[in-house]
Amino acid sequence: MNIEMKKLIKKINLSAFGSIFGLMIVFIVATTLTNGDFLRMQNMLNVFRQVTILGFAALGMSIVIITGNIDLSIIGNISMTTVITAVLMQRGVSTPMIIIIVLLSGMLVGLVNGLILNFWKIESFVVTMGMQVLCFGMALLISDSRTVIVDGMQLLKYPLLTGISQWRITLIPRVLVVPSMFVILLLFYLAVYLFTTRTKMGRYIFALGGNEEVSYISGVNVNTVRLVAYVLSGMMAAIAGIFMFSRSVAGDPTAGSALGMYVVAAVVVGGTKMSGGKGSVLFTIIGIFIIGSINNILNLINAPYQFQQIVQGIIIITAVVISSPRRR
Amino acid sequence: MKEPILQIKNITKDFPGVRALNNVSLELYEGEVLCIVGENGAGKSTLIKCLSGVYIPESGEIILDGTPMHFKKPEDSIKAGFSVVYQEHKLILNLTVAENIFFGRFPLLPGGFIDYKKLNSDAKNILNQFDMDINPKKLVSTLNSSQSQMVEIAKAYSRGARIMILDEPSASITESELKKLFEIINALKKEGKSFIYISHRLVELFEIGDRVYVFKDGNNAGNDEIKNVTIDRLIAMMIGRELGKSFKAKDRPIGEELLRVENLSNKLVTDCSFNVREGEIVGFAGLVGSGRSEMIESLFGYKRKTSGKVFINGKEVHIKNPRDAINHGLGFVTEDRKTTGVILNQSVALNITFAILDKISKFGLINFKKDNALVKKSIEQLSIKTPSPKQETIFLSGGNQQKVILSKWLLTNSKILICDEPTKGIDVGTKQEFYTILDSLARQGKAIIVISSELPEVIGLSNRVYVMRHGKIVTELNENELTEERIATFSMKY
Repeated sequence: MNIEMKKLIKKINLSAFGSIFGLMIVFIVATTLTNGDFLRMQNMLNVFRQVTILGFAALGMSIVIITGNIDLSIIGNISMTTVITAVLMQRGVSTPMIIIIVLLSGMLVGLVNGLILNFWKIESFVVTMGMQVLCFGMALLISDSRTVIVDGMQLLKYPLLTGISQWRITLIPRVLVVPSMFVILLLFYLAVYLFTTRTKMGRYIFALGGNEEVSYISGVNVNTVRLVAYVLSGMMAAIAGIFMFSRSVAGDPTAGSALGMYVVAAVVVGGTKMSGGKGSVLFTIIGIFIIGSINNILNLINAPYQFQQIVQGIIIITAVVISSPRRR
Repeated sequence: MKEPILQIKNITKDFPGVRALNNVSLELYEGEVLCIVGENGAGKSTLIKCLSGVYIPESGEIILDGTPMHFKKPEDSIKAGFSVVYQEHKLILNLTVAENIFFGRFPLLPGGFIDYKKLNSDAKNILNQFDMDINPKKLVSTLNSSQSQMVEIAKAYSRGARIMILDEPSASITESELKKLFEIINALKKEGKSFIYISHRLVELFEIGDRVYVFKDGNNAGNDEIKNVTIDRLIAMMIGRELGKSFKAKDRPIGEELLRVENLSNKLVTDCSFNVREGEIVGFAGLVGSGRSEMIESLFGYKRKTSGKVFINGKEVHIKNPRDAINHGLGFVTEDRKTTGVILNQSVALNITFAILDKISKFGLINFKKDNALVKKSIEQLSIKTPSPKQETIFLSGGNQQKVILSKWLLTNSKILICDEPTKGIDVGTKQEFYTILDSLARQGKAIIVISSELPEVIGLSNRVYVMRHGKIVTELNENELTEERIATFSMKY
């Protein structure tokens, strides 16, 4: 085989299909290690539930990372919005109002991130990290530093918000049953995928990550593009917050911290470049499955928590290493 | 006959899909300046990268003083005595001149501290030796292109480089700075240093070169003593045919005044007033740093202006950002392709229709049929060489990237097109294409502003030329007053 062919094959393997291969390997290893338990319907339902919340967070993060920025406030935002959901429910606010208020709170966080970055030339890393801490603080303030428990009778008044994480949808009878919230996640991924690839704003988002100066000179209002990215990210965090509540039917002010760096990890494992302008939200789905499945299998085989952390760390680094060019 | 100091024998280098160098051989003798010319993509840069250890050739030999060399990394090449001064300088901006010259070889005091006294005086000595008037304690970030080039040469010299490779050394420096560079090269030649000199500006080769090699499509298209060739002959060898006349006759019909600028000032320029009429090409000449680009950037709303009025079709307009400028019919082919011209990591297609997405989308949705058609048409119209519209722009040659920028602004249908150094670093064939395009645009009634440091280009294209110096327009020259001497005189002393 000549050198050109080898290079070509190498390129295709690693960039486009790297994450797909990765996911297949994870599934095979998972099934083997757990004697097939991994693939059992009940467990897969669990995996789907786990990846849904991570999935919304990673979807927002993908958009922001494509613009060449980062949004570390997402996990704080999730904690805050999940607590807000619980508190509003305690007060008996109607379902549509809860959804509107929670979405707006999440988007407000994104809006503030975006505005600060538009006015001052600061690393988004720093601003959104501050915002993360602020949101965690808000979550504690709103919840009075306790997990917000909603009364059982009260919960019955909210069939949609409590049921959304419990209902199942049969995609292929006896083979593939998924939680309804996962279907919602897929719809959002499809919508955002079409948004990023088919619309003017989508192109501006990629272009902003590619070169802000060229975008500006070409007449793009780069500040608007940045705001759109961060507000969408805040909205996705709020949706994740609602599902977070729905899964546990309680508002835990520390809920978001469990996601930690997994959000960035899922995006990067999915092949989106941290430097901006390159990537696809569809590959982020694969990213969340890789991260989610590894977590799940480590639970199934009863690996101690510290061991789980180490394995996840290795996987993230390996994934990035495989998809990156050598420095020299 | 002397033995050559460097022999390159049958070097071949492949990239996926293309053979960048095909069986190329050349010899370099001690104390000579060997010029290499060729169109963009002819293989000049690839050859340099093989010599500097960045690329490893598939086959062929590099023989230095009779010993075959096998460079695996740039360090090997530097140790062997090669030194490359690239078009984009590779100095460390936040270190001083002296620190850059002796980087990695600092004189030390006991205890491992840097001996700054010795460092600065050693640097001063080297700089003085070649009459380079640069303070060694200055930060490199404060130097201009010409000065950083000198620092690179001083650095190479201090490292004992025997073969210096200069890649487009004249691309971003002025005529007088070029003279200075030639003096330095001649001084170094006397010390027995050899040079490989790569340039698109053929005229200067006759001043500095001893021999010339012509590259075409990765092949050696011939070589000769400089004194035996003419510019026309070189061009014919490079493009494989005789080049027609570069500039069209300026018999374009001139119409009404389209743009008038009154007393435009910003941080770097003061009180600039000028106008451009339909069908006119107006040139802006002046030294690098005379404020030409800065003034135009303020006109376009890219940099803030402190005062001044802009009139389009006789009506005053307020341009606060590039969007306003575009809406008022301005287009801006910027000087620096990489930072303000194209989005390198995006596709050719995205770049081409990037400024007119408003026109080809409805409710924010892009009409892909229109988009693809426009991209296809632009690629054909300007004959942009790309394997596919989806190709990332970074993989195109400089000239083709420049065409992508131009096609972006052609699509906006701007009435007033500003071109800042439109042919910087592109080959003669493409340059001529650009001249033809600009001429035909003017004939369609557009007003065109060309900023250029190449005097023949400004003179050949423009109906009128404004000369700038120290942030001011010092004179306006009409067509019959355009000579290189005149422009040079006004741009250097008033």
